[in-house]
Amino acid sequence: MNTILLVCRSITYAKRVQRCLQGAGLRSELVRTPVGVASESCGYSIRVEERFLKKSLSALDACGLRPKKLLRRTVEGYEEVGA
Amino acid sequence: MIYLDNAATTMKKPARVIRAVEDAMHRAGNAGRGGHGAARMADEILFELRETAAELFGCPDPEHVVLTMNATHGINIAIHDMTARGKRIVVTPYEHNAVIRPLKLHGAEIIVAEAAPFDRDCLLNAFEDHLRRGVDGAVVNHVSNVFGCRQPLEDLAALCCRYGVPLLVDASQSAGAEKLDMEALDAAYLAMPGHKGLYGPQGTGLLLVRDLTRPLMAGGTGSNSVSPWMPDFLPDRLEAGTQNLPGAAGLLEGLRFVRERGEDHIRAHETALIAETIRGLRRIPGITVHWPEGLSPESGVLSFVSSACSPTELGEKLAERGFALRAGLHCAPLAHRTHGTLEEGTLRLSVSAFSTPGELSLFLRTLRELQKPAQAGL
Repeated sequence: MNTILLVCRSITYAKRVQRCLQGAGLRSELVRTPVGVASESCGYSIRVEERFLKKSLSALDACGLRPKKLLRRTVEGYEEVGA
Repeated sequence: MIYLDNAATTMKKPARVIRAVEDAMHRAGNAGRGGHGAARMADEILFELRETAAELFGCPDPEHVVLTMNATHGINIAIHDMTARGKRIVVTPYEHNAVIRPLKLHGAEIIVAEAAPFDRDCLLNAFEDHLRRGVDGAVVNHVSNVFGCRQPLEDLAALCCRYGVPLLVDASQSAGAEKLDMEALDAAYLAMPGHKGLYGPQGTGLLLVRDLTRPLMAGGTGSNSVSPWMPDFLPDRLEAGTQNLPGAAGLLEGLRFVRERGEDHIRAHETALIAETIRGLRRIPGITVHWPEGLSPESGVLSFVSSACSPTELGEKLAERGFALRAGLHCAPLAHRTHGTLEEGTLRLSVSAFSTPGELSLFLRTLRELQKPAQAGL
């Protein structure tokens, strides 16, 4: 199962993202953003299944929310993906 | 003890508030500082608190709900930000030292919109006069912590909007008993304690901000840690250091209590008790009530004095008989100056959602007994 991290600027923003996805019936998980993969460090991300990424981004758009960046887990680490 | 000092803090809390504090002390970790279950629980408590407060006080975004230690802390943040843009600040004649002292600390020129007691039109005219002449900010004490009078907040806020002046609302005595809508008021800042009309624990408060605000304190936030500067987003920008999580858990339950009972219902209960108390006090010789005849009470706060002894002495006599009231200036000398009671202050009685008519009947009976020797000239 491929997953995508929706990187958020703060825990409060991450909780807003999670609430929005919950409201749209989409499953997600709150996780710490791995140090080094996002420039700001010590942040929180929402992990979603890649197959639900499009739906997730549509739901967030409707809530007026936009993650800082999207990261896909690869064997080498993380790579940024375009929305 | 019959507790009638709820304007200082509501000592009696809903049982759910106390349970939530205890539960958080057993199970909650440090919010925004970890990925484990205990930290997640703390994150959830804080987020629910922000969401609930945003909904209750008309704040469009839960990220703009900032957790503070008390109303004074929130007011200090707001004044630190407000005075960075200009020092001429207009205030009502009822401001608490929580407003006056931070303004002094920041070198502000404090302009009091002078008005006769209980004269709203006079206050509105004085306020607008100063806005027209040019000020950099405005502070409005919504309900006086001494006399219980409600300022015409909606009209004052509309004036501030018209003149483009940022408004700080001190809702210390109104939050929980008055409907407050930050967006409708277009207030720049709304500060309130968590431990009074919101029935949370002491050491809690809320500041709702309209815009990105200058931080008063700096430190760890659990976000953007590589930067030596405070984050440029809310609420992290204004929340340095570990939060009072048990307090926040209790405050969340306090907000839920207020939401379920309803501000209108709480206010109706409190003002009915005060109306009955005013009637009773006016029947006791030698007692002067600082509330105009014919005007319905506007809050759960009331001040009075006795011709027989000072407010402090009377407060002590009542305390000996098991009644908790507060005597003195109540940290609001400006309000006392406005009402001509600066020399000795007043004795203040304040009720909560938990106060009962029976408690106030007992208080009136006791006060009547205490006044008897004075009536007899003893």
